[in-house]
Amino acid sequence: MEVDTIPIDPRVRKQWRIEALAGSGFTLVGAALVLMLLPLGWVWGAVLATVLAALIFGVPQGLISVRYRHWRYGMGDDVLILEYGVWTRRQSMTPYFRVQNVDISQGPLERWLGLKRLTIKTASAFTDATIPGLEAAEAERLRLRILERAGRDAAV
Amino acid sequence: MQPFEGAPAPRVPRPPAEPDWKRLHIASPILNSLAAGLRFWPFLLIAVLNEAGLLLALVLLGGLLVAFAVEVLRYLRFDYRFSGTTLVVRSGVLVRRTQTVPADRVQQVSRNEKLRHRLFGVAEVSVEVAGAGSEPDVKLSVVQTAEAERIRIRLQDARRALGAMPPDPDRIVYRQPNRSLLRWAAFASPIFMIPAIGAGLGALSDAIDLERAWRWLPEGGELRFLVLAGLLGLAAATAINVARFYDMRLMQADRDLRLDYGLLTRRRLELPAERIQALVVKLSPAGRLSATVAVTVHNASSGGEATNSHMPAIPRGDRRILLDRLVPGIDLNAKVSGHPRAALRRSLIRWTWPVPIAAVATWAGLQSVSAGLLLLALAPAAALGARAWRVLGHGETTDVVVSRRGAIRDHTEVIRKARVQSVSVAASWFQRRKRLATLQIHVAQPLGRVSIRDMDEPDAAGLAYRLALEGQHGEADNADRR
Repeated sequence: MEVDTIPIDPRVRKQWRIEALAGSGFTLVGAALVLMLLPLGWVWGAVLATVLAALIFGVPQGLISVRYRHWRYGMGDDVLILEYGVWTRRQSMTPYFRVQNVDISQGPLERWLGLKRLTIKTASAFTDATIPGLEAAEAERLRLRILERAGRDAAV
Repeated sequence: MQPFEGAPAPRVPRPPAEPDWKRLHIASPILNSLAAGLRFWPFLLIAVLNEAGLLLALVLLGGLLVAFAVEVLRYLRFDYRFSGTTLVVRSGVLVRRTQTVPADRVQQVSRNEKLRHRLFGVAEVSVEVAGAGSEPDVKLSVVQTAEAERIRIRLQDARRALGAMPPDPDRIVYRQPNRSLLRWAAFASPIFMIPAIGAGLGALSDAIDLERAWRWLPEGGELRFLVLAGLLGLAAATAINVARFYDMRLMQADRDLRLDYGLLTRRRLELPAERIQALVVKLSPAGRLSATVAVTVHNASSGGEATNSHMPAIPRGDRRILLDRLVPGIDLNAKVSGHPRAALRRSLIRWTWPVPIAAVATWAGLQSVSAGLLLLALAPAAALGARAWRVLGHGETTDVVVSRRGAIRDHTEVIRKARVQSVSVAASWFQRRKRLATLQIHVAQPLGRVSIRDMDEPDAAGLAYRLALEGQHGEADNADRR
């Protein structure tokens, strides 16, 4: 079964960057508190703090373009396919006839960027089918197409 | 054409009268408040054994009276009836709730008859539909035993009327031998009860006036007391396990399976056969010693009742017969094949990596002798890793996927393809280097998911595609194709 997959909206990178910056900020505050408790001199303390700050901010920012490059989705005739992951690559397949409901959500950052996230739910809580960074109109289109293909049979 | 004057009015058949709302059994408030009170038995024990326990006993009595008042209100505000093929339940003291359960959506009906219920000739009925909550969807606690049977038959009739199943007489399809249950209970209970008894005695030693309890014991000091308590604990634990799963019978009523078991608390569990999602067979150390396996039937029930559809002591020779009878007509003859040699290295690493880390941590604490001794654990850890790889395997038929895993406790999971909700294939950087991948199969709760670890990557992708696509073909189609 060959299904053509397409990338998500590139604006999602901006969303991820801002979210990663906020996350790194919190981590840095925690790391700074730990550093203050260690018996380090000013020089070593400053060197360690700089290295830590570079790692805490640099690594997540650096990984965002790799993460974006590997995020793809595709609609086959019978299944929705998602491919993503940097360290662990994952390909998830959800048959349409198992769909219980389709959710669309939009956080403040996504509203600002004009993006939406679409989540498909099945009878299993472990079903892994959330597509982030969809252009708003595309999310609506996708929702309708999935619902059209979802059967009316008992899905459990 | 107008009917001529004086002609009798045409007879219109009247719809059948809606049955009246029914209340629970009058003993419900007493039994339910008693059940709530029994949860506090350790405090009651302390109150009896301790001279200063009078106040505690009074508090417990007050609590029991409040619980009884609440249960009376609940009883007065709880009623149910069948409306066509739907069970409707109204409940709630402050917030009124009306639940409707369509018969064709029922995943499981269970009937519990605890000792206190049997004294009153009543039973507790739980009806489950698919979902992920922790409570049964509808619980009728309690109704007369005959009424419980009527509810079961009514739900069965309603399902039949909706075409969910054809009629068929009840019959016993498997009986768990009580001898194998006793063997299993004797091996399974002590291992887990020894620490529990120790912890219990430790926790109670401050609260109980030991000097007072001591007078009742024969001479010989604390050692005799501990040995006696230990032996009594082991015997009690064995007896509890035997009583819980005693005389387990699997029956077939139409296309429903019924599991009937228990000595003091008699449980009856209805499992619509077409709702079964997966079967899990476990071989534990106690199972190895007693030559038995445990079989659990998973459907999509919401109330955590999977623990009730658990058959703990099936003789190993009977395993095949039982599985075939649980899902008749389903091809279970999967040839389970092992995983690539590259998975062996990963299995060894997975089992051994904590040992050197623990050894380094111990050495850092200047305990070099202990660190050396700890390193000796590498050999058994590696042996377990190698065994985990040998056990690891998977197979499939047109109807099911079989996953096998475990090192100390072996699990064999049989998942019906027609019940697979979604799948995913994951490969970490380490796995990609060896062309390995982990396949995750998602089914409805409470089982949720099954992981087949370290498969050959193309195999994992192929099986994932087949599961995603073939799930929509019914098993009847598969039987035709066979």
